[in-house]
Amino acid sequence: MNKDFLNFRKILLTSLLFLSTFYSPLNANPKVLKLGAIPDQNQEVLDKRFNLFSKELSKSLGVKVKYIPVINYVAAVTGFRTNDLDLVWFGGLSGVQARLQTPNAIVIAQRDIDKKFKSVFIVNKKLKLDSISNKNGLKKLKNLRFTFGSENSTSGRLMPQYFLNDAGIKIKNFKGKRAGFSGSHDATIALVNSGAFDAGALNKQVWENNLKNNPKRTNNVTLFWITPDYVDYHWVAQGNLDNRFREGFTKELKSTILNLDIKNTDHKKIFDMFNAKKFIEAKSSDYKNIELIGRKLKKIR
Amino acid sequence: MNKLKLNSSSITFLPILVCIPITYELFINFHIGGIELFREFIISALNPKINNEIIFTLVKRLNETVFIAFSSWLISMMFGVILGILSSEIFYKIINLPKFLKRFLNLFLTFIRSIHEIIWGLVLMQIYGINFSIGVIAICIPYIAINAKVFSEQIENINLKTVESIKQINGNKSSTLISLVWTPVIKTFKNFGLYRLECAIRSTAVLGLFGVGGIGTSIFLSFQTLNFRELWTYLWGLAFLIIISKELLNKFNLSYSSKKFLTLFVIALFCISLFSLSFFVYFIFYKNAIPFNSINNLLISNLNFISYDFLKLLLETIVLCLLSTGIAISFPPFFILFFNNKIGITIIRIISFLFRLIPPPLLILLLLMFNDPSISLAAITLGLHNAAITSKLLLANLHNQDNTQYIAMKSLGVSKRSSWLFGLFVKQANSYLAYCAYRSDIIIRETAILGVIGSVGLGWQLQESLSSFAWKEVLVILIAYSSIAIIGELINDKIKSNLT
Amino acid sequence: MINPLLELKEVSYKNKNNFTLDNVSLRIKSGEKIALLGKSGAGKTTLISILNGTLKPNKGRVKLFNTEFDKLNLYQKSKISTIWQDLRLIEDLSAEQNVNCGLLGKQSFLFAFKNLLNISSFNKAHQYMQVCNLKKSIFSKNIRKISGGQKQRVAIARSLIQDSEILLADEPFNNLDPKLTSNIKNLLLITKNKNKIKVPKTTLISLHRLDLLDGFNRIIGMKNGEILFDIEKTKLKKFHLNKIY
Repeated sequence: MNKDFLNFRKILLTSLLFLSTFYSPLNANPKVLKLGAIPDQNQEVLDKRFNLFSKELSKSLGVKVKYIPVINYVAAVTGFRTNDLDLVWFGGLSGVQARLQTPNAIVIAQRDIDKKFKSVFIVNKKLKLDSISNKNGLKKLKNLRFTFGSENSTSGRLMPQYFLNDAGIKIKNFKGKRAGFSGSHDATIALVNSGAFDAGALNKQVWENNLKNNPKRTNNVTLFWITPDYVDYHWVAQGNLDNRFREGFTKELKSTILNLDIKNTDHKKIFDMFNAKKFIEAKSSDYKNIELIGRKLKKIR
Repeated sequence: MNKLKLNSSSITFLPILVCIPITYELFINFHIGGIELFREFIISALNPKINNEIIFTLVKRLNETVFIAFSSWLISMMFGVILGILSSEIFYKIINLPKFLKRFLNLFLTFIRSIHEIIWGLVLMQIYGINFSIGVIAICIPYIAINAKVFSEQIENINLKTVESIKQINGNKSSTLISLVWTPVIKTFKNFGLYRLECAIRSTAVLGLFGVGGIGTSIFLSFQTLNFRELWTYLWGLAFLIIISKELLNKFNLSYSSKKFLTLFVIALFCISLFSLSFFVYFIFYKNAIPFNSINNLLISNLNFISYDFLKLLLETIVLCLLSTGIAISFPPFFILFFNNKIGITIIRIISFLFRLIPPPLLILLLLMFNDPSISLAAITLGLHNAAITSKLLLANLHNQDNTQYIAMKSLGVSKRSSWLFGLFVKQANSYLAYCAYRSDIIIRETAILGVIGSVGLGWQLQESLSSFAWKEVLVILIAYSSIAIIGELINDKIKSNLT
Repeated sequence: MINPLLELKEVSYKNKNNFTLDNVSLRIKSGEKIALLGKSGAGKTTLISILNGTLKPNKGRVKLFNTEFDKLNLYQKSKISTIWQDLRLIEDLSAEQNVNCGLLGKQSFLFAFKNLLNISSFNKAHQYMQVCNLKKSIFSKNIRKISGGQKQRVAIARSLIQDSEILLADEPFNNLDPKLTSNIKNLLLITKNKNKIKVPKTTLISLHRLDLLDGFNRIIGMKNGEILFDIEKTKLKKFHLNKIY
């Protein structure tokens, strides 16, 4: 009994210590720039990409930068609204949602490829469907098991659904009267590849990456259709960074990101992870169309 | 033809009939598509990924899980005791307070109990963002109310005559109260506390699937990328945690033998509860003044579902509850009856352990590889998970029961199955059904999690509304959920009081 | 005239459908040793419950120290101690903890708490338990694990430790063997005893055994919720007893 008693005392003491540190209000350190991103791909890829990026930011801005992974799109939007995240890599839709909920947020930049972003529709090879040349061909997807990526993904759900609607296909035309949500672009490929779903839609860039680096994963999948372009991903920052860090901080941040140069070897690594050649200026008005479509599909109320 | 007479034994077997519609729907929706992935999943169970990096993450995640589970368990136990006393008849017998307070408190507890911790987690995450403490609070809210119910039920069992006799000593009222409730509280703590800790660990794991942190997050992420070997490392880690925590806590015996220990224990509990109270207050008032913006959002966002759709979802949710409760009730006795030998029972034990281990959201994701989303699929998932839990209890009770009648039957030359049925099971049927009624309360709440992933019923709509930040819809869905749960609880209370 | 300690005036108590007490009046003065006789169901237990304030009469008044029961403060109320017929000990506590509960009226909340944690002092409780012929070995035993007679004596010790003015006892000798019965009876009735513990000066004990009447100075007989006779011990005649049995 005595021995148990000692053990238990230890456990209690440590747990008390634990509680006190976790619950302490001092935990919040205002001098750290907290970086976030929507989890649209494998966590490993994201970890690598944003850790590299935050190291570079930290070097040129002289403040501590910390990457905080989040589990879904909604959490990223909420984290931004509640000030848990200062600078977030949003998709088109999630960025619009976040900016609507956080009124003084500022659009910082986008990649060169985001101006003309595309989605792809893929199908399992067993179905023996040929690729199509225009959106009306999408009707062939009727009565198949179809999966999107994440619910709030622009390239994995919003735009594909928009194009499907345009072609006259509603969600209830799919088998089971519903579409699946795989959760990420990589998962969409894997699920269609395995045959768990017949067809799916995802980000073109992730698709091409997988074709190149992971041929085994794409063995049983073929490209069905490539959508027209639209704007997508962008960096969004809180409006109060100047107050929290120093005068002109937001400007510095913006120029740091825009001045990343692919000729510099350190920067090249970052661009490789982002699959881009440079970051370019972006304004919130670029995303008006996304907002309209979002409202149409009731993802923005 | 003789009329079928309903008694508790037949009631436990009858629900097997739900299998007919379920099997039918599963059959027409079946496809072989996911067989490759499933094979990979099964093989990976025996071949989990093990290297330094993953073990490090595993330990870190397990630590988080233990922290969330342990602190929410402690807090919910403490507050459960306090609210349990406040909502018991005896409190109002001893301390003269108006009775409507009790009714009000009970109503309030029933409401927060009726909403599953996952939903609290999802909603709180919307309001407070990503934060570690969300997990603790989300688990605490319904757990406090559940614990309060259990404690107050135990306290109500005190003989009213004893209450009178202690009251007659006319000591100060708090002394009288504490002297009376002490033993039932400690006893419940001993019997029920351990089980609740196990529940807290499971809930933490499931909450993790929705992004709160801990092992569940890793499980979900590795599943989402279909990295099965990694997935199994985490799953076995969770199994290890559940087993170890059970073994460890079984060793602690809160008996009267060590005075020092008890004093320390009570003081520690007191400190922790104070701590947590201040934390709650801090978290809600300091952390975010901003979220109260969401109340504005609530007012702007417009209600977007047509009532017909909403009713359909509501109906789906109710059907899902009924079907899965049917499975949870009838499967254990059925399978034990059919595989009534040592090997059979062992296999049932192993399978039910696995079904308890794999969180239901993960289970449905697995089953989705072979089937299109449907009510039956969600029902079978939820049903199997809960049948695994009820079967554990049934097996334990059967094991502890004396088997003289069974032996007597067998010596009469009755077949093994019939003698099991009449010699052993019949005696357990009543208490088993009572437990199942209690379990069905939980099933109603759990339909929420499955809905979120399996795209059935209200849960699906909830996820959709949350991700479009449509607060009014969220509110309506929460009200719908809690009313289903409250009605279910009322019906179950009736059933339980009839059984005992 | 000396004011009575405890007084019932035209008290009736109705239990759902029938009267268990019908128009009962009673005055108990300090120092009286009263035996309450009657068959089971005569209303003895109800009378005792009304005397200690547990039951509220439907009609009539109860006064203690010449004050209405409702107006008494806790301290005054604690001047009545009761030994219940069904004992009403707290299950799962040990014998000594149960006896200590008798002190709740005099002690603070901290004492109650320490008692439950088993870290309060049990000296006084032990003294009372020894007086009640309880062996040391059962002091710390769980109340569930001791015999009926032992429980009875724990209940008696609990009521004595309250140090009250009036002791109400409902069939306190039920589970005791003859020798213990006479010991305990002497303990309850003889105010000055060699054990140096204080025993209430005024006692009312309900009984059904007529051989135990020595030592009392007043006898009350009850039947069907009414008091049939209320006389001094010396005037008790056979016909009185015939009336009630």
